[in-house]
Amino acid sequence: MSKLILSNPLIRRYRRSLLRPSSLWIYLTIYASVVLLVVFLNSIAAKDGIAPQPSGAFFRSLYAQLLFMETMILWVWAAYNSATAIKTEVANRTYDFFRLLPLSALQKICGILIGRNLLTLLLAAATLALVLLFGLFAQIPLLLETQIVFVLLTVALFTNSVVLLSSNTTSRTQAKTSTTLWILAAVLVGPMFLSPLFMLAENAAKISESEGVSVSFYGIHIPILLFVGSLALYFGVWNVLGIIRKLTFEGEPLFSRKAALLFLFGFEVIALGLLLPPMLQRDGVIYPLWFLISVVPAVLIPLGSMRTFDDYLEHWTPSASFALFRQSNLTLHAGLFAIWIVFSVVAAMAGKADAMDFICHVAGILSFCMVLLLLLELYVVYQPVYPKIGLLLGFLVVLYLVLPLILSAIVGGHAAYYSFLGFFFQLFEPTRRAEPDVRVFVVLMNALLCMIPALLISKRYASIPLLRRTMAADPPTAVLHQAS
Amino acid sequence: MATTVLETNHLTKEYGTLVALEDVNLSLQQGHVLGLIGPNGAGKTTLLRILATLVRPTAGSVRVLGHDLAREYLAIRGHIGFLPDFFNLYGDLSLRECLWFFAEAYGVPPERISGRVDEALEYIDLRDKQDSLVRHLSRGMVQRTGVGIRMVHDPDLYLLDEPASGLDPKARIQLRNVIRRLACDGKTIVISSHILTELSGFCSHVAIMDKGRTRLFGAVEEIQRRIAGARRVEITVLSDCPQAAEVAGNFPGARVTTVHENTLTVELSGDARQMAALNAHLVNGGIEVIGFSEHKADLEELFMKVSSEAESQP
Repeated sequence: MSKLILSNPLIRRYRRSLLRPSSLWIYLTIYASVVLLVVFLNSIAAKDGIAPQPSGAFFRSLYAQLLFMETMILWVWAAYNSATAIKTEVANRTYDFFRLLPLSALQKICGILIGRNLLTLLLAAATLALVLLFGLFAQIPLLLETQIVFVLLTVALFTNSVVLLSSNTTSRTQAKTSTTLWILAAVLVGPMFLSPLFMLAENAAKISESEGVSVSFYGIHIPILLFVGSLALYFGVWNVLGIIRKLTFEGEPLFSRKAALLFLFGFEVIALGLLLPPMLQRDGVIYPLWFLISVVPAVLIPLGSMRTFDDYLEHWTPSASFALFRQSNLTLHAGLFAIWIVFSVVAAMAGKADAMDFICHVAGILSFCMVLLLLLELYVVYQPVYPKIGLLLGFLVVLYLVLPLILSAIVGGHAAYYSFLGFFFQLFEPTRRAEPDVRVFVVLMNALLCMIPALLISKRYASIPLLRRTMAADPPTAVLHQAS
Repeated sequence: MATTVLETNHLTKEYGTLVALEDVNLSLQQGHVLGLIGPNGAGKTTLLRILATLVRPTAGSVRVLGHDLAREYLAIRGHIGFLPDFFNLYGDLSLRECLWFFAEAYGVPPERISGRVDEALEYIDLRDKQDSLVRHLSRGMVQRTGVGIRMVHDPDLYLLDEPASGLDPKARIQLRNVIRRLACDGKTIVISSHILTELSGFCSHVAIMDKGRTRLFGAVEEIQRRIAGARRVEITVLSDCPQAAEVAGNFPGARVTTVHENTLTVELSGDARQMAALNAHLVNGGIEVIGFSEHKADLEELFMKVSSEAESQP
């Protein structure tokens, strides 16, 4: 702990620049003025308000407002500071020095998250003390206060770590990883963390009510704030692991292969835990919802763990050419979808789903995902030869997703089911569910569509030994990607 | 026995199909000063960034003071002082605070930090600026401070990538003096530059790089001798230069190459004793010798020679 915080040179370095007395007093004056203003306006409203205030309402109101202020400080202001920390190092050309500091990656993460936010944390600590004090006066239960503090801190860890991780964009690969990260964060966890914030902002009186709200997780009732905080902690820890990875060596993808599998496994455990109770009650909507929630990370995680064609070249050795296939993105995709299938089987068994129906759905979803992931791999292997191929493949993906829907609007029939979106939609609408033969055709169509990218990819894989030989023959100059 | 500070074996770095470094083998003992010479794109920066643990090599190994770079990069970072080609320092800190931060980060014991910072300030001759914010310093001062921040933890190996690029002549000379002083103090230094005059005079070793390969690596004197083939001796006489040329030409192993006014250049095979014998031979032959010195090829000559040899190869 001492190495991470107390004697962390990065924290000391930020202390010297951020907490100079010449500027500190200005920040403290502004902060004190804002707090006093809030108290003053609330006391005026309590005294001269039109409607009579119930007992403790004044302190409840102050409690809610300062809590909102605390969330702004910890989740927004601090996150902004964390997001700009590495970008500032890069812009100021001090990043090499930063990377070379003989400190562990964890020390560096603590150095930024705490050091860069020293002023923010100082004000957050003062606000938290006021929040707890007003909560005491407002007779907010201690257990609820503890849960709120837990959510505040864990979501702060999550938001700060996710922005710090995504700010590490010193190269094009990392910039792509950053985009991936934002997509992952927005889709997977954004709504969960924003809900408590809106709940707090909505009405002070509802603060106490939230104590009774709980989530059924594998049938165990967990208070909602505790559950949200635990989720934030789960994702926050993964973020920290990602930053450690990125700070250790440059150009690494967000997830190692093992981490990608573990992350998905953890996510599926959480998703199943949340959806299992309604599944056991045979809730019709939950079953398709399971497919939606569980498959999205399996499709998005490959973006964050993508190996490039350069990596393939680097790892290929004549003695173990089979190793390339073991190291390729496609085997990771296979592993991810194997996990997804296992959890889907468990979900189907728990929900006593019709076996034929289940197989059709899984095969359909899997076939769509295969097409998308093969297009992604096509991008990986051909990007060095055709730098703009991403544009073409992106266009194809849009066509693939949207064209059947447009055709369905024009000619009707089952065309919509040939789009991934349409296929998912029919899961939620039992009355419009596709006939089994249509689903079989969907799978066949996707299998046919997979063939072209699969052939092109295998051709490119096969070119690797030749490229390596060319490199060995003429090492000093750039060997162009023209062998295939 | 001298300590091996740096050792690379078959070091290779590939970026996809581009081979940035290939089969680089270097070995430096304590006190050696290695000049990395080569045109832009030769692989100098890649090599330095690998040695600095910033870039992972594709193949080969690097050992710094016995530590393996692949496994013990954190330990290595404590032993090196790397100065990248384009860098800046923390503008929101004063010069003293900046040096203090690096001393703390590199694990200098707290009771010794103040002394080290004072020493570094003296060394880079910026004591009078110690309380100025770094953002207010000139480019030359920042560059010297760069050397200063690397000095505070007293590294065993300095890695300096084009340290004088972008500096005006005065700042360049000041920086060169700082580096010369480090060299005189017995520090092991790897310094890259494509301005060869910057390196001349204080490099004990030289590695000429081209297209990712080391075309030549070794001690400067050894390379000079190997490339020149024979010693080149410049002899200045008081008068009668043709007779001096004739006497010198009669000496075994000597060949007069040029005669210009009262100076003649002689190629001589053999060691320093042979040179002394030639001098005695001239004096005994009645030649009034007023100058007798060995001409050593400078780095520029070496580089041009190696480059032209490399180009002439198929």
